[in-house]
Amino acid sequence: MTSREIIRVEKLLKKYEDFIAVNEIDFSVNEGEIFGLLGPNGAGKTTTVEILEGIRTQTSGEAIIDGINVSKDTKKVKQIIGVQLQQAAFFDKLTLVEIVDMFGVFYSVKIDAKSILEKVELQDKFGSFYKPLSGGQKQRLSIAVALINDPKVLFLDEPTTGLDPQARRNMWKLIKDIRSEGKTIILTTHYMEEAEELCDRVAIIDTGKIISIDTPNNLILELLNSGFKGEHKIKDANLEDVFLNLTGKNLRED
Amino acid sequence: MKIALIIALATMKMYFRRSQSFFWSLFFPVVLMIGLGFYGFGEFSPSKLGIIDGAENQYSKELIKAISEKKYIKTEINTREIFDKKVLEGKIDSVLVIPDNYNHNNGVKITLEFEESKEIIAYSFEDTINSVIKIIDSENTDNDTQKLSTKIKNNSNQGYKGFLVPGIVSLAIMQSGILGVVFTLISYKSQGVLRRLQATPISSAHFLIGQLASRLLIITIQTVLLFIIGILVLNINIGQGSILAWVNILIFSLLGSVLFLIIGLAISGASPNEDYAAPIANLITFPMMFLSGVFFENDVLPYWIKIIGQNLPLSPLVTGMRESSLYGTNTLDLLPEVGLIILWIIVCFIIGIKTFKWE
Repeated sequence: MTSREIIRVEKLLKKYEDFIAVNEIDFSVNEGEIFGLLGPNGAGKTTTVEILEGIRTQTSGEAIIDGINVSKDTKKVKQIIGVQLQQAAFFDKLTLVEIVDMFGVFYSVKIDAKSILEKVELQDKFGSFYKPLSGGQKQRLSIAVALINDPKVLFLDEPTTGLDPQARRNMWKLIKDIRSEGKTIILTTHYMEEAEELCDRVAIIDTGKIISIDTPNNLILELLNSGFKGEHKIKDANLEDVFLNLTGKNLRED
Repeated sequence: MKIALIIALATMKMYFRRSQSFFWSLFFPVVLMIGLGFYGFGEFSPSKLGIIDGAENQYSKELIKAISEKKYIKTEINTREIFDKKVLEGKIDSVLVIPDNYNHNNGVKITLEFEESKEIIAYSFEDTINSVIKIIDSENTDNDTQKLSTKIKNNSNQGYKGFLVPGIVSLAIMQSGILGVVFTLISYKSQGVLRRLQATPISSAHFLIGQLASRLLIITIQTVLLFIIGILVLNINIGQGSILAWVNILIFSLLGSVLFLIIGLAISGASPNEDYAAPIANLITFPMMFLSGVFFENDVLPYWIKIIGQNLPLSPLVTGMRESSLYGTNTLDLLPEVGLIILWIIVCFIIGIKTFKWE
């Protein structure tokens, strides 16, 4: 797949008083790709993503999305990206349709709130308030809202953290569907099987630095070629498969 | 504009969906109003006699001195204009008028004026004054003609109720302005609602203007409802029947709301979570509750505390509301109060801008 570069990050640095969260990283993302940022908690994934989203400003370095410099033209960038934040919420006493309509006004786009909610399978919740939704439903609403402006790039920050296996599989399917519409997705996660399942390429970040970038397959092959042997013989199924086989793949309320 | 409007509408919707918040914003002020108003909390002080000394001669002075020596009567010498106001507020129970040609023997009568509702107090004044006159006269001549006449006027005084209601309304404006905003914004902040808004192309000004606009409307409704409850339940009378008084009340309600909303925004902007915001909000509102003349005239306070109290943000609002609702005073005659409110708005706005943080 040869496509054009849609995100370019150069020497991006974010320093807090005596702590370097992101240490001069470089990477680029191609259009239509699902690009994963992997790393342990506190590695700098979220800070990197939030700089790209225009929520934080970097200490130095540059981030360009679709030719727009994020720190110089933040508002323009926000108009073409969709954002699902790790720790965020919506107004508690508004219905889902009201929330989606409201964000439509924020992006000055005309939308059909119901069809957007149907897309993330929230058709039964049009008139519900945000607060009583389950974790998975809240994440799906969050993605619905992120899609309102038909963004070129979608940022998903740990979209499956805290979800049960059913909701997680469902989220994976949703993410794949979105990619098939040609959108570029930046995904952060600390679940490796999630990255393996979804990402075209991943960057592994630790202590603010990118230590490796490649396709998941290449990274695995590289490790095996270096003589690594897993402790256990790989089985054809894992415990999650057992769990899903026993409890079914249907979404649960909570 | 459209963005600020949709935020304002959404905020209103959420406010009224949280039905208990509107209920409580009315409940406490109404309980205070009715409890203190009916109880006549302010009326347990010594009876107050106003004296208009038209003669200002040795005879009138002798008479006033003799009356003032009675411990159970508090006297005050002042003009007709001032007493009209004080009678209306219930701060003076009767007025003794000494005409300019008053002396011992010329048969000129002094008059005790009082309103129907103060009849009982006035009769005790009458007895006292008559006995004082008798003692003075027995030292001079033995003129025995009745020198004191009485004049009963129609009730205009609203007593403590009329004084209290505008104070409580002002207090409610402060509480809704500060606490309403602080608790909503702090919860938006800690839940990450503000962060999510920050990721959209809207500016923080859109959000803040939307918030302000909706809360202004909510507080205006609250002000009008509280006065209506005051009229219906406590039988107070607004601006002596002048419709214009309502306009003046609304002007002060809006100014006060803007001021306290900005203070609320400043507190919530500067605090990372409710652990900081709640004590700061209390620290700011609590002294004003007692030093700004909400429940009682702050004349009773020690001098320096009184001066500080008079300049706190709530004081000009209380004065403005009280002047508008009791006497129907025009806002143009209350420019010092308007000015002080605007000054506080500017100060708090600057502090708010300097300390606002989204998360």
